[in-house]
Amino acid sequence: MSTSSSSSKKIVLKSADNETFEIDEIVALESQAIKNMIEDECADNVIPLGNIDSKTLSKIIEYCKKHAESPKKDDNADIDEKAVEDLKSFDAEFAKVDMPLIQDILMAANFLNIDNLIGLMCRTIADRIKGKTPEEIRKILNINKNDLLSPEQEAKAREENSWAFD
Amino acid sequence: MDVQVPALLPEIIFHILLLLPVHSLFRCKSVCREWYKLITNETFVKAHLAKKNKCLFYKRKNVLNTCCVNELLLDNPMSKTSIHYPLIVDDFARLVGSANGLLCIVQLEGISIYNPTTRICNRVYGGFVAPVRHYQVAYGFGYESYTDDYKVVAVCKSNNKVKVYSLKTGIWKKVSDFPDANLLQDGLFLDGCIYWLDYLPNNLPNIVSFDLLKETYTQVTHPRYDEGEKRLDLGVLGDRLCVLSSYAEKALTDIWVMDGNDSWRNSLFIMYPQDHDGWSRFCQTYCMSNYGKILLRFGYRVCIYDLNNSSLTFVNEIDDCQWVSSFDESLISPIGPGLRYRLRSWKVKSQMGDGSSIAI
Repeated sequence: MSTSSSSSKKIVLKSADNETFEIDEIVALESQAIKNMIEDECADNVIPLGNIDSKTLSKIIEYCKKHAESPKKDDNADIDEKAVEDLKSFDAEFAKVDMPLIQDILMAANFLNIDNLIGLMCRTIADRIKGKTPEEIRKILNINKNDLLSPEQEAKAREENSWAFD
Repeated sequence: MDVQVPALLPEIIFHILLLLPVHSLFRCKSVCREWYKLITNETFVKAHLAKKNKCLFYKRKNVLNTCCVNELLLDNPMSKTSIHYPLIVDDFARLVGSANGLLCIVQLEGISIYNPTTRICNRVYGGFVAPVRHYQVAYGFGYESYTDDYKVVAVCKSNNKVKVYSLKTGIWKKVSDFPDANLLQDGLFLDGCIYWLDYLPNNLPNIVSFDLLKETYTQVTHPRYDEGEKRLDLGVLGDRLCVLSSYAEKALTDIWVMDGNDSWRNSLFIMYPQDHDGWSRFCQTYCMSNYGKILLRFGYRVCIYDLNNSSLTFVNEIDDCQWVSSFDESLISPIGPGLRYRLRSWKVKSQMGDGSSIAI
């Protein structure tokens, strides 16, 4: 079935900073959490998302729109490779944002339960910290300095795999 | 207001860390306490092992190497990354086998259980004391999933006595005697069992399996081989037991794969390469890829057999090598929680090229 023909029921999402986004239901269904709400009929016309700001939410909607439009893998066996390639390059482009936004998107995607997006963001973060030193990783992810290893633990961790630090 | 990045949830960090190569993970351990706890936690170690990143381990000119099997099979055969680390072992040392991410190496004095990924080694005393020498003992090394334990099985060839070492308890235990141990080689591990070829005089060797959980022996029936003078070897192909039956006269090896319920299927035969020396044979299997490529050993060389076009390619660097074994890249500790302090166990430090002797 085509995505646009299903009388395109609308869903309204409201961000933490009270901005509203009207989207097609089919786009909202990319989120397992919203899908469950709709199925359980506990979603009003407006779904408030009190922990997601408008900047993050608009990014997420951009992602869901694209993925809702693309043919799903299990729809039919002979999906054209162009669509797959297209989606891949969209994902790559989508992930080119700064780390705080990636983390915000990741938290929101986790809350909304959008598996593909969680995977994409995790891969992005993994790629950015791959091969980096502990100091660099702390800086990239802005990790709380209160949780550092004690000097003894640090020495132990290093000694166990000293060759990995060469 | 200051831009405050919210801390990532532990389950998300778990997911991210699983995507990293091992080399990066070791560094990540030093990032903060939470990460250290996550990475050293058993759940993470198991999840990481389940990713099944197959590697090949081999010894060449007294240097131990590892390389990634997928890279070998895909980019075959030129590009590969080897980690070199010298490890001084005595001349009598031999590799028994691997289970998940751990290798078992037997030496004149004692047994080493070694993780080539983390390069941490545990030294265990042999099951039999003098006058039994290590060449009079056939070993097997495997993993038992029900008790989540790694075990070394030692069969004394002169009197059929058998002892089993558990990594978890850290002790050797005597089990029932081996039926009739005419064993020439160490055993092969597959799916909770160790398999040996038991050479009876004037007859085909028996295939005897030892169940690591029940600690019982079973005799496995043979496939119906072709007539003719043959040498048998055991192997694993696609998670199933296989027998390699090599005919020097015909210059080929038949591979029989167990098809469940003790029935065998003759899957394929591989012709020896044109320039074979007359005594080499296909004697070990390491891995079969989804694309129909098999990594196996011919004599002292490792090669790739392609089922699609029956072609054989030798892996350039891996020739003239011993101790070849596949293993899964893992963070599994070779040091059990048991009596590890009473058994002197220590770690191996890698020291490049200074020639100092390092006991493993």
